[in-house]
Amino acid sequence: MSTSPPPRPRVLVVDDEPENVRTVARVFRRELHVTGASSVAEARAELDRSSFDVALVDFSMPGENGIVLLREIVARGLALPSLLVTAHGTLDEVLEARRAGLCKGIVMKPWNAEELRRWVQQVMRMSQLRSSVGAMRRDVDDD
Amino acid sequence: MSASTLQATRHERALALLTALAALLLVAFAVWAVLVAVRVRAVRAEVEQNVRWLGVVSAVQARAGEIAAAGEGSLDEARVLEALDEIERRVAALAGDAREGRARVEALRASGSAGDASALGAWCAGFVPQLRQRTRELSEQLAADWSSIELVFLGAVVLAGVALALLVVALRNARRLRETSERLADAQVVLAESERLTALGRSMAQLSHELNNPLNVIANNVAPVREHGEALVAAVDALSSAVPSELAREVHERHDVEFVREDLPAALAAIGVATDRVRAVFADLASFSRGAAPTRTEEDLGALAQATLAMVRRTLPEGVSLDATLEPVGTAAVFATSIGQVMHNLVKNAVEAVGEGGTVRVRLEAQADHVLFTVEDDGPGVPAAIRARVFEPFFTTKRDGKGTGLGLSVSRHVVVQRHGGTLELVSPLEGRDRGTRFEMRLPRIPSHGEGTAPYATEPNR
Repeated sequence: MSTSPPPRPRVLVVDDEPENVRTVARVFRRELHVTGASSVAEARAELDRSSFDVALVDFSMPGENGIVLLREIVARGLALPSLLVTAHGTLDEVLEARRAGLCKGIVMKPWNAEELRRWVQQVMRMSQLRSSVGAMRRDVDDD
Repeated sequence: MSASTLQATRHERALALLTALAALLLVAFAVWAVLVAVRVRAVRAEVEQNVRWLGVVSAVQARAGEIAAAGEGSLDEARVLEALDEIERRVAALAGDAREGRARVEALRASGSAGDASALGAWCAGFVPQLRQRTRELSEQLAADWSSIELVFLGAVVLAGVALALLVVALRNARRLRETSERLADAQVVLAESERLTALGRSMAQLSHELNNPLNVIANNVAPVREHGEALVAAVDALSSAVPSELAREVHERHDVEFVREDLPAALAAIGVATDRVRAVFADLASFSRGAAPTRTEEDLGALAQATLAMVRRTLPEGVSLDATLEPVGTAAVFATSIGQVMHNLVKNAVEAVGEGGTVRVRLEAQADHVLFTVEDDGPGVPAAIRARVFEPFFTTKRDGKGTGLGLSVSRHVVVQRHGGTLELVSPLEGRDRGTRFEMRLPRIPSHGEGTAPYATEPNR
């Protein structure tokens, strides 16, 4: 039986300001495997290339904003829970995205490391539960 | 021009017409009263004359009788002549008989005979009933005029009533005009403030967005830098033990390692405190809208106040009492989170203001078309010098960075701008030299308010 530590969750951080990406990577360097993208286009390429456990998506970005990416993630049917990160959490568009189920939560900037850690853990746990429920259902269906 | 202004104009026009009519009536009454008075005066004068004449004629008759009885020579001619002159003059218009009387007097004067005296007496006896008749007629006329006087009096009373009513209406109108202009002035102040707050809100939203990104980087790199620093110091310590102590001391001294070891946490703590303050300012701004619904909902304001008080009671300092009188006020269309935040803010401010032994009274009551929420404290009150400034953004009297100075300004923005209500400060309390009361009035039916998040900006940069 293998005793190797569980692999660090893979997180896609999408933010047009590279320092924000680097800060996430720095703060969570022992807990998360962070991949950065500075635009929706870059994020799209990363999603094509590999799979992630959680996406942290900034709302305000030049060109396509974060909600465009969230919609795409849902449209592609990716089992990728997302958190929308924003410097102002009161915009109708942001609240609407949450209500529409495009993201699991809204993280306000400046975020607090503890809070963000809880968010990521919670979102991942939910996602794992959902996939194990799916697996069990398939087992039941197979029997 | 609004409907109410139109109505006011129509009302004023009717009032002006009524006033003109009343004035016209007043003039007519005045003319009539003067005419009646003149006639009454003339009648009275004539009656008085008649009475005098009656005396004179009676005297003449008596004298004529005396002359007739005594015979010639005893006549007081001058007196009789004077009486006759007067009779002739006064009664000339009345009857030709007066001339006859004069002729008889002249005859009497010429002859001095008892026969002429008897004739004069007989004339007088005939003239007296004429005078009496005329006096009767005049009395009747006077009686008729008296009715007119009564009418005039009645008219005067009525007119006085109308004039009084008009005066009252005019005074009330003047007061209403003054109130309207005061309200207009108030509304202009509120409007100006709303605009200022909207502009402030917009620039705050922009500013908070622009600053939250760098703030995020600063705030969240403090912990890694602390770890890095600690790691470096530990590494230096570890290496120091592996090299000759002389060299280690030299390196320590050259790079101030001891100082760095002590000062690094202090410097990072300072950054942490500073970023926390900036964060608090933005959090205060956001607290009024975080999770806020984009539209109003019908909320039970009593329940909202109850929830707010429960929250404040959890952290109520020792020795401060919090009394609440929450009347059932029903529902109002509000942005619940924002109004809850305003209530919380007002109560918390009051609790902080009173100190130990103080009392905070919260009251919720229904008024004609709005709901009144008041928070009163018996603290020292707000000094006159700063009363006008308490709603200014970033104005605070709390020390050591405990207050951001945004609570009241954002509260007023929420109440005035988003709900079309008012938020007023009364301090000191009526009849006292201390204490403060904040009065929030929320209209039951929203009159304005943009119905979106308070600091909405363009969705995209």
